[in-house]
Amino acid sequence: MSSLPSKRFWQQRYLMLLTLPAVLWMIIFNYIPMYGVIISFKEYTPFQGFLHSPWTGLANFRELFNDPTFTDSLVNTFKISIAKLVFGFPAPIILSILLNEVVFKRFKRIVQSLTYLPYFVSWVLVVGLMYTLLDPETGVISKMLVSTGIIGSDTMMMGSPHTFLTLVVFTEIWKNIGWNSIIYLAAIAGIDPQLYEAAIVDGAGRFRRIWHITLPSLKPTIIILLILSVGGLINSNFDQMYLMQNSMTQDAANVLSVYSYKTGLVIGRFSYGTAIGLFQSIVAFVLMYIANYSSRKITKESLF
Amino acid sequence: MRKKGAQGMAAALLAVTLLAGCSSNNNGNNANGAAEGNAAATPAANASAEPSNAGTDTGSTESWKQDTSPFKFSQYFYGNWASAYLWKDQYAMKLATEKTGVTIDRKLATGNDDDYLNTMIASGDLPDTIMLDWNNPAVTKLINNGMVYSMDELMDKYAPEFKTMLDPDMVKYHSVDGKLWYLPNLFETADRLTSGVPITPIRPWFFRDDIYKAIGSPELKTTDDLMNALKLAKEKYPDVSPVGVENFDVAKNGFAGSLSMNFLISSFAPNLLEERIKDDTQIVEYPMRNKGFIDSFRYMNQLYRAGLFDSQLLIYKQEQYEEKLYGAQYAAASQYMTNMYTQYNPKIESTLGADQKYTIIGGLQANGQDPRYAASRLMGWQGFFITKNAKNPERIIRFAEYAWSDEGQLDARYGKEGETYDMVDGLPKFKQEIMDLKLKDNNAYNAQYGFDDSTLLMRAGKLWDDASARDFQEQQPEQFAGAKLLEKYNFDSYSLGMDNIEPDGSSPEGVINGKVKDLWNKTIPKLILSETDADFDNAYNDFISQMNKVGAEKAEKVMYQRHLEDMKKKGVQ
Repeated sequence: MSSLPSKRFWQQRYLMLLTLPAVLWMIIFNYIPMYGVIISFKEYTPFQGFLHSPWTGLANFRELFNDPTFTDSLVNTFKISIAKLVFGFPAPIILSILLNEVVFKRFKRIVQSLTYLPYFVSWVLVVGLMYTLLDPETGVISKMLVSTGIIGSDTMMMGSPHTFLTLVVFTEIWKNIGWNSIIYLAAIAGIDPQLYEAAIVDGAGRFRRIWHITLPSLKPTIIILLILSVGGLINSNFDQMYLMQNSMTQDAANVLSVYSYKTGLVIGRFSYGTAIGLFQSIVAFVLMYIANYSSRKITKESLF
Repeated sequence: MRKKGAQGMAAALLAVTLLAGCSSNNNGNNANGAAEGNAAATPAANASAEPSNAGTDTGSTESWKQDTSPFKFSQYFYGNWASAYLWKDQYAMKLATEKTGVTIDRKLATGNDDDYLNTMIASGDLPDTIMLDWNNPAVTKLINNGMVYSMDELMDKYAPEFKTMLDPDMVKYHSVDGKLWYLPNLFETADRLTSGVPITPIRPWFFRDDIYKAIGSPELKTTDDLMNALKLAKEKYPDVSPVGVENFDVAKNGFAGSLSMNFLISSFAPNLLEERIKDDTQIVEYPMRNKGFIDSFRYMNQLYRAGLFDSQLLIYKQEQYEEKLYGAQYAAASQYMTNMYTQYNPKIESTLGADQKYTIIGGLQANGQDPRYAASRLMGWQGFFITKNAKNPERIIRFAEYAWSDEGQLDARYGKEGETYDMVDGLPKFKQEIMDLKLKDNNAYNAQYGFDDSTLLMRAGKLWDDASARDFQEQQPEQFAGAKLLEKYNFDSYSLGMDNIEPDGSSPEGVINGKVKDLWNKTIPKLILSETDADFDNAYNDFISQMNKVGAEKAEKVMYQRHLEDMKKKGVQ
């Protein structure tokens, strides 16, 4: 009995060999650097290095929780992430279901290509475009919104904390909807067509088929992706936040990752910056664990 | 706040203001080829040589002549704007290589400078040399972490003569713990302010010529006059933005937020520096506590409420501002004088016509008081650091000796006699075509010659300072007159001891200072965009209470200590 695992291992040795590069990659790039987080408990000086810098215990974390900017950025992070989750998460599901219903294949393929192209455009470019398109004087989109009365003529979309959240969520959806829908489309493609045929015979209409067949079949995929997104709840997109902030939106755009970057690298408080990063990772881990646990209890679907 | 952007440096480098006596007693500079034979003597032999008796040994010749074989060292230049300053085939840089064999592989940060620098420091992966503002917070880190050589150590070992060339005042001011850790460029001496060359220590505002004429050339003596003129300008030219100021970033530009604010601050708070020093309570106040200082922001707010300040300016990047200025799309705009006269105006003249050029606005009175501009000699701009990673510090310090020498200075600034300049009445003078290029197409001049761009250890010296003063008056009469117009408001702030008084970045007070700046940075847009006076006051009071909460007073106490230290170093007290 005890020799069984090793025997099994031996039988699968070629498969193991195949996964070895991936495991090594994980160890080298994901686990070894983690060792660096110890500097959040130290007063890191480059000269003394990781090992010899003096320990400070939890001093950095104590300062963190008393720092008003930290609290602000924590609140911002959750606000932005939750908005992204609420509006951004269902978007690709809806898109994939709609695409699935399209009968005209060529149209479907064009829509699909067009929606996932933005995924490949870098945030630098996207934000640059936003500044141009939303310029109150010359921007095409600004002018359109003003002429339809949605915004006032003096609204500066990129410079207002009020429109900031909307823009963040909107661009996030615009950029990722096509890409994220691929996985749902794949799941839909795997649904047995006989189910649909049977439903048609039973007299189910289009919406009933979506409700009773497509959505339930997508459930496992949706749950897994939801758990993963909850883990990322505290990880608002750094590139997007960093690029979209300016002197007028800095209050709204200061999220944990940006704050960590600013204190850690720009000001050069390496230990403090790392402490922020570590805090973020721990919270992300806890959130994901809770989501996974509740999902296992409620729906029997889970990541681990 | 004497932080400089690209324009600041270009301005400083054009060196019109660098009229200072050369205090180095650099006797060994007459090239002495015969002594080169001694160069073969091992460096170790003169390693122990005292500077005083160096003259008898190999030290009688300049140390850099001992080895002129090809040699390359790397350098990080703090200032991602300095693409014209790269060692890329410019005449001045090639000349230095020709003479010394040394090439510099100069690198700029690809993104944020502090970000880039701190990453290098954190990983210990430094280039051979660094050029970094001597008052940057990272300087303490480099020194305290033992990441750089002290100049004394290297000079004693490899270039003993070099020490005697240094200005004792500079050595005294810049030494930390009794050692000189870097060599600052552009350190000036006392006669800067009395040399007869007008200095403009603030960034003035300008009015577009044709608009000014169209509104009847009203007198612009007070801040109210300016406001009225802008209102008229807006009526007549609704398509033009009335005011152009550069972006606000407290971390980069200091408490004024935008370099353009200094002009107004000097009007509303002419005695700001003195008023900040509170000897009775032993603090140096943050300027944000000063009424006049805040009044200048109130003025911006009034401009905004009168529809004269476009809130877009708050989110504009540098490039967007410059683009509009090149297009003369502001009625009034702020800019460094040198840049206005050598970059923007020439370009505007050639593309839009001479009538759309900008003319300087004189000093503005606010609340009945004359403006006052704090002019001090420059305490230096960037320090030249040699890091412990340098593979051959010996060659580098010897090259530094060359760069510091009169010969090196002249090479870097004027090139070769007969080829790029002639001696006229004992002073170097550019060939006319080079002078023309410099004034009409500054970018091409930089790319081709690079005479203002090596910046490496550029220092005050009578010969070239007198020459540039003469050129300034002769070749740029317009700018000279402009500078003269503002000069009468200058006062010498040197003895106030307000240089480099902000707490050291890594100290607890430095952390507080960082937070105060961050808070102020967020507050500025709120102040400027306030819809009512009450909004303005609320935002301001909020800021003050938050600033007190993060411990501003502790930082103010440290600033007072550093203020005393600064006076001591300068020998005033």
